[in-house]
Amino acid sequence: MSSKDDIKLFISEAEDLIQKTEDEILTLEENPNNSKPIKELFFTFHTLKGLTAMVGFDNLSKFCHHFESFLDNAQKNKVSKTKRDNFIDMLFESLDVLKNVLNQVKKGDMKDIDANFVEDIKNSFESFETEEYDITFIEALNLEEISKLLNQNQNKSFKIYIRLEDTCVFKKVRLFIIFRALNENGKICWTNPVPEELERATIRNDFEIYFITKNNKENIFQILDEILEIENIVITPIKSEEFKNTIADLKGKWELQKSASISDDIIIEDYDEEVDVEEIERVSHITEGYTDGTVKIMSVKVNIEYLEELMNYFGELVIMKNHISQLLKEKEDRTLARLIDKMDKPFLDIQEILFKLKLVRVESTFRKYKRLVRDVANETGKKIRLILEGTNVEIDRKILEEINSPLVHLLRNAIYHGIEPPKERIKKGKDEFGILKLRTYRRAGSIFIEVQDDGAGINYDKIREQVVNKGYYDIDEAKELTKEDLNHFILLPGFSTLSDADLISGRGMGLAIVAERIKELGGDFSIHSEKDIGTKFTLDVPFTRAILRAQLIQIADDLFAIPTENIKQIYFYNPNQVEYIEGEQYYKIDSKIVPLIHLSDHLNMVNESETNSHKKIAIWCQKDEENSAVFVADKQLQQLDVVVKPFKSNFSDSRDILGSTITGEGIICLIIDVLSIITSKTNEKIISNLT
Amino acid sequence: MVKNEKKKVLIVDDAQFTRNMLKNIINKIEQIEVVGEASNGVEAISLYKKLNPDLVTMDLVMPEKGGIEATEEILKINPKAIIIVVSALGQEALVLEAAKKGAKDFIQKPFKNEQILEVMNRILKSGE
Repeated sequence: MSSKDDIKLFISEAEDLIQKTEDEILTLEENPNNSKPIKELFFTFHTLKGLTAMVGFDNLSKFCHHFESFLDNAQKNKVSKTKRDNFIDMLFESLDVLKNVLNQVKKGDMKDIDANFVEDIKNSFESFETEEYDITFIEALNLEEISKLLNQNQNKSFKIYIRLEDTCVFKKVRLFIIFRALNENGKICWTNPVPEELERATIRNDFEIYFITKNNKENIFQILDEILEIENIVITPIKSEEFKNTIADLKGKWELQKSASISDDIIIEDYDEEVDVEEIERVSHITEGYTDGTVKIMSVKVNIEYLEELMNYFGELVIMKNHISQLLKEKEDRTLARLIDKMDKPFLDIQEILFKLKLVRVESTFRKYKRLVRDVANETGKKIRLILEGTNVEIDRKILEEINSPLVHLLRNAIYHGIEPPKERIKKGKDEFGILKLRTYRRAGSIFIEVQDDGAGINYDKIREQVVNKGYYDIDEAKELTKEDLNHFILLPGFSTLSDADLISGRGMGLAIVAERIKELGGDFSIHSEKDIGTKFTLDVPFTRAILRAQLIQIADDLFAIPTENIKQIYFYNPNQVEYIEGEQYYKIDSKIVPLIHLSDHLNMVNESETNSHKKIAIWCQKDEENSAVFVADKQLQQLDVVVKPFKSNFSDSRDILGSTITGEGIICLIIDVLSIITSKTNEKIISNLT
Repeated sequence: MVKNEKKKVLIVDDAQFTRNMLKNIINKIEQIEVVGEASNGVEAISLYKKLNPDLVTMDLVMPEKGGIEATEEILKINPKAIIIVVSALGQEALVLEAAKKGAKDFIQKPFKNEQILEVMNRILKSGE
């Protein structure tokens, strides 16, 4: 019997372990493909096993032992989706058992659990394990061995197609019996689906076996005919060369599929059943050289946290390097300065690789929309065909995460309000299936994502009414407004209200929020709609952010930065080039007239040490062909690679700020979102022109 | 094999009901005769030795000695023994185990008459 102190120690240790167990189970529930919690759980149960045995809870110890060995198995094998919930439930239940015992112990009751209960647990684990973790009964051969076999006298090669009866329940045993019968009479070289999948017996009812034997077709047929539950057998003799090539091909695809699913794992593991077939085919010829059984591992799985850390450390390095080069410039040490300059190249290279590491295919998230669309379509009684285009476009993982909810919003809206019910569509002469297209493509530094439906389109007449009702404009003038003008109103927060459900097909507040979100990301959002033809929303988001090349400028006494990618040209500011049109300032550049923005005014800066206006600089920033503006700052400083940190501010309109960064000298500096300012300026103008 | 001699079947199952059902079905086939019934593994082995049947239907979960052990031991006596597992649903693991030990094929309970007939016909045909 243990002493009181021992018991106390036991309680505190067990409590810790139980807490840990609970945390790990929750982690596992959130991300069932993460093997780390299973490993951790294995260790906690192992410790619990020892602990409970020491205090004399033999049954409880056995109970923990069963969990331990089960988890040990689970570490080595993947728990299938169907079993996963069950598995997690069992873990939670086990936790409750442990908690109960512990609570009793606290009250001084040292009662062990019932032995029968332990037996039950053991049995339920057995049913689990034997179904999920078992055997390899196909000894897949590599190509060399296959060649050897084919060269042997009298050996013939066959492709055998087998279809099991639909009523076949114990597929695994059925497969075992089939393979055993064949292997007793020859050699199975490969299967389609791959052996790994076949053995998991998660296949449909039919499969192909690549088989070498001395027997003839009739013999093979006889062997298989003795076996029950086979519905159909097709045996095709294949020439040796073709046999080898087919297997090599199948193996190559399989390896690719495996490596593809590994890299996908970095974010979302849930959708491992689908693999972009085109992609595989496209790449498969590249890897043909590797299909001789010594397949190279082309990718590794990395915890995303490590990547984030790596990015952060690199960010800090960039800042330090900038600081050093700044100091060296002041000291005028040329040799060292040159050396530091030489570091630019490797820094850029690392930066580029880091970017790539952060990239994931949009597919990883977009695949989930299939389900979403299906569910929403069912919910609304509509018939929808979702088309995903460009799912192999890569984008920064962070940005992909952030555009997820705007996209979900757009897709839902398109189904709810865009696409008409089947009957209405038929009346309009459309196919009863509405087409919803999600198209992704890359252009310059941006990713474009289009959500397009072939539904009713936006009712612009109603928007005109609303423009008039809200007093932006009178009826006659509203008639003159183009769709583009009206689109700006749609995106004004609060322009339409929830009660205007059918206005713009119910696309009220939501769209303003979507547009807002996209702008926060440094992106752009636009709408094109035709009555009864459909609506297209286009999101234009940067494909990565984090490290930017920026032009440092001084406004009043403060430092700011502008991303160099937005800058078209920098001039000395010449007041003579300023023109006033309808009270607005414009700057004349060659033959062009460009809106002028004084940054100190725009950002409400108080200029204490009044700078001479002729020393000022004019920075011409361009958003696209039509939209640009000239920004006036007080002083041009150096250009730097800056690490963008998110910027949130309560005291100013943070929409004009892209983020913040720290300069080489350690000064915090805000990065001005010139594109956003240009956009809001043009919007303002349209609205002010109207009113 | 001597002509006109019927093929012999041994039924192993702990439930009288199942044994009767199997017997009724199998005895409908002219060339086959049920020569013995065993209600556990121990009986099965001793009857096998005594009767030397052409085919054994084997239940898996039985008192005293289970079907898997019985299968294993019968195959030790005669490596060519034909043993067909007749098992309840949900016992896939056990069935696989029996198959690995050498059982020739399996049928799930509840079985249909045709299934039993098919097995008998197929397997006994192959022995000719």
